[in-house]
Amino acid sequence: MTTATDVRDKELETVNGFEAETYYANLKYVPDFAWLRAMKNSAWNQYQSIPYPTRKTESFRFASFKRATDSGFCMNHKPQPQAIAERPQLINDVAGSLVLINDQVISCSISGELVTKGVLFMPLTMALEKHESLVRKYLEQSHRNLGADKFYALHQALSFNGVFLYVPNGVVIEKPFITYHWVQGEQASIFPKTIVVAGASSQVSYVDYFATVDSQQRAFVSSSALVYSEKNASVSRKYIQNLNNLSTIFHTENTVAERDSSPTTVGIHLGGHYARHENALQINGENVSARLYGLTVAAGKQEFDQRTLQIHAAPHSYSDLLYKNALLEKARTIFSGMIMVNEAAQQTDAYQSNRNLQLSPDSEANSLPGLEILANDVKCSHGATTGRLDESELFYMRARGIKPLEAKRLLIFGFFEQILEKIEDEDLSESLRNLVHQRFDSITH
Amino acid sequence: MSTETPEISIDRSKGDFHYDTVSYEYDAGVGLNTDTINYIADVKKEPQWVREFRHKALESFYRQPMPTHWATKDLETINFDKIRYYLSQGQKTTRSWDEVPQEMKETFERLGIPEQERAFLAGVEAQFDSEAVYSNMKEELSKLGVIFVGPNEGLSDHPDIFKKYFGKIIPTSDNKFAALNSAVFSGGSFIYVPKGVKVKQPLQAYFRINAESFGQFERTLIIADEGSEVTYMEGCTAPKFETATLHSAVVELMALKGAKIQYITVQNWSNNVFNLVTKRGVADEEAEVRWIDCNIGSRLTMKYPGVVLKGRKARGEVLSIALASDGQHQDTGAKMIHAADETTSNIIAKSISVGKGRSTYRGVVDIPRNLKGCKNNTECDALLINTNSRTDTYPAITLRGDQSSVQHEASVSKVSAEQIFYMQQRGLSEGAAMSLSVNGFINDLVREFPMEYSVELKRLIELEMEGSVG
Repeated sequence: MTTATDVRDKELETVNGFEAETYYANLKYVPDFAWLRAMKNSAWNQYQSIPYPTRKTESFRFASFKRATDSGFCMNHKPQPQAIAERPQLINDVAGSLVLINDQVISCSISGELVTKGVLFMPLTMALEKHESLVRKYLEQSHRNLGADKFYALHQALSFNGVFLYVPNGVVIEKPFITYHWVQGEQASIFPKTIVVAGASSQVSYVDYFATVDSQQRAFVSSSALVYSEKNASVSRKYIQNLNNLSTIFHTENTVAERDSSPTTVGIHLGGHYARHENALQINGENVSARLYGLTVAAGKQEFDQRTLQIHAAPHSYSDLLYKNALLEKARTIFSGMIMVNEAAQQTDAYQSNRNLQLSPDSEANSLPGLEILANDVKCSHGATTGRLDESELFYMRARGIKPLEAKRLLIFGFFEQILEKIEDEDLSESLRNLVHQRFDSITH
Repeated sequence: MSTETPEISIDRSKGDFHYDTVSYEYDAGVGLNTDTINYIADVKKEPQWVREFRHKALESFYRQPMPTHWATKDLETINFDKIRYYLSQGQKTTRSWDEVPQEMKETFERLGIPEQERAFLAGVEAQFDSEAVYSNMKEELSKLGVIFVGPNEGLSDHPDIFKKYFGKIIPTSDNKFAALNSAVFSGGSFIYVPKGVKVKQPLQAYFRINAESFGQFERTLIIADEGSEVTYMEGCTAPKFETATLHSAVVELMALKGAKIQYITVQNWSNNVFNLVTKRGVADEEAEVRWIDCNIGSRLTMKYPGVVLKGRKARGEVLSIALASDGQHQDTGAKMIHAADETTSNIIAKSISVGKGRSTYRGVVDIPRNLKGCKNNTECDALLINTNSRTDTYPAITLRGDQSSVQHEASVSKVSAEQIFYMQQRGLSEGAAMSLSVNGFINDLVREFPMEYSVELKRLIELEMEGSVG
């Protein structure tokens, strides 16, 4: 018997994603290393064999699976750099900055002093040519995706550029590095790959900023990032997603933490029609202190599909996750988190928290906070709350003469502040605060 | 703390015996097909619509895959072709204890059923394999119009009200095991409490599996009419056989306007029973459905009691205790579906994993439309005793709109070394200190059970904890 669902599922299978032609045409951008070609071919085969998610795909639970599609996009629009010349910079005082349009390099700079210390900061294609064996080591590391396997395979197959940041042992860099990933052209797509390696006892701050040049042109972004935090390293990583509301986004992030290291990642999620963000943390050593933060402002008919995983594979480590979502209009958010504590990871301290602020009668927040604990001497907890602004707090402010709208705005900004204050660079935190506030005001006015 | 498996000395001795001498008059044989269904329907002389209901359910059972894409792979070890689906000595349920066949009488006497009836119950039903052998209720309740019978009588004597709700709260195709139950159901209870009647003492059913490789598929339907109140308790035991046994029940509750239903389960199946149960209640305006659920036995339990909060100001609650020892997986949880304004729900789940035991919490809280003033509170706490114990938590929460609120909290911990040290310092043995700590962990939930049960529960847990320290 064929049910209505089966029929719909079948229709989906016939939808065309990226064609083989695109794949083969794109190979000319990929350096001609046999190992790399083999990797790409196998990824392309996987992409073709893995079905699109359906209503029943557990890893897409609650997501509008029909939005999880790559159909109707293309590659290789020619970049037109003059279009972004006037755009403001997120931070002025940087250690290095890279600008990509449609994955093609527009500009790249790094302070000369850091070059002499052995710091590498360059487009991935260039890094492959100059430091093949080093880059290969990280490209061949197994990368964990949290269920969007088809789209990750697509990313692996079509990705030809990105960023490679390598900080040698003991090098401490105060100023941040930043990469601007611009998407330009109707239905254009990018597949950037970020690799950040922080050597033993080093310190580094890195920002990926994603944006569309035109607010009316649909973009497809399928990106990945590997943040590798060696022994005693301190890494501060930010992911700023400010694409337009028509775009489709798949991002898979892996943070690997070796002993005594302290990686922190902050994600700011503003754009997208469907934005899937997968964030996996792997703790491999003792005494790690890892933090994962997320802030989402969802409005219109946007859907944010966020999946997280904290793996504790070693004892005596700490991880903390906080994802905050503000929901306006008809927006939907999905938070699906998991803490996995292995048998060996005794004395783990792991926390996971999801806070949803409902600001509209039509918005919908879904929360799947999970735990899988195989060690007994642990402190683990998760919490999820969904609710609206506190009436008594609003009343308090109004009693002091603050107008209702302004009171609301203040309370909402206070809700965001818990994440924004985690950004230690003042310059950056101020620009992001402005970005988030502007975004919010543009929705409510 | 050791990784060694603690010695398990749970008190299953009480239920671990069976009678080989029972001669079953009716036996549907081994395996499941349309003939099995026809055999059961023939034996029970059921009307055509029930027979069709069973056949449709069987098709649905065949059609649905095992839910192993989210549930444990252990389900795949169930061999449906080696299970006996219907065994009984006859159709007659007696009201008199003296008329119960000897072996069955001894069985229930050893389990203490008639004593309990005299002591504190308003009515008792005892089910032995497929059919109830004994059913009795205090006379004053019958005079008030309370009905407490098996589904067979419910079907034949009260068809109007039975048909109205039967299979409506949990549709046949709800899940694979609900479909299986709908195809081969036998035994269980049908309860109707008329308007305004408040049954003060609990009604009890006792489910007993005696035969090896047997599947018990009882079906319970409780309807509490407007403003009435009822408490129902079920207990389950089985002897430990060589081969796995299957228990797959469907329980439907309907609380009409202002009614209150409290459903209490103490599940102590032997630990080779697959206990796969679907339980759901519907609460109308200002009604309340409360599930109090305690799972100590079985190899694998999958049970997520649910409440559909259909009317304004309806209230749902699930209080759940799970104890998973070596070789056990307690996969329990709760579902709260809010479908009307100002509905509230509360879930408190506490689990203890001992040895290689695994306990899992799975929950659904759904406020799918923009309703006003709905609230949910969920707390699930897990206690891990040994280094090789395991716990998982998989909640799913959906909230639409800005007029309601939900909060969910979960924590995982072990018994703190400081606590044990403190008690040892004051002269308690390590074991006694452990057991006291564990009892403290679940104490506020245990209090919700009727006295007799809470005493028994504490004793069971104390026994369980013995030897788990060191």
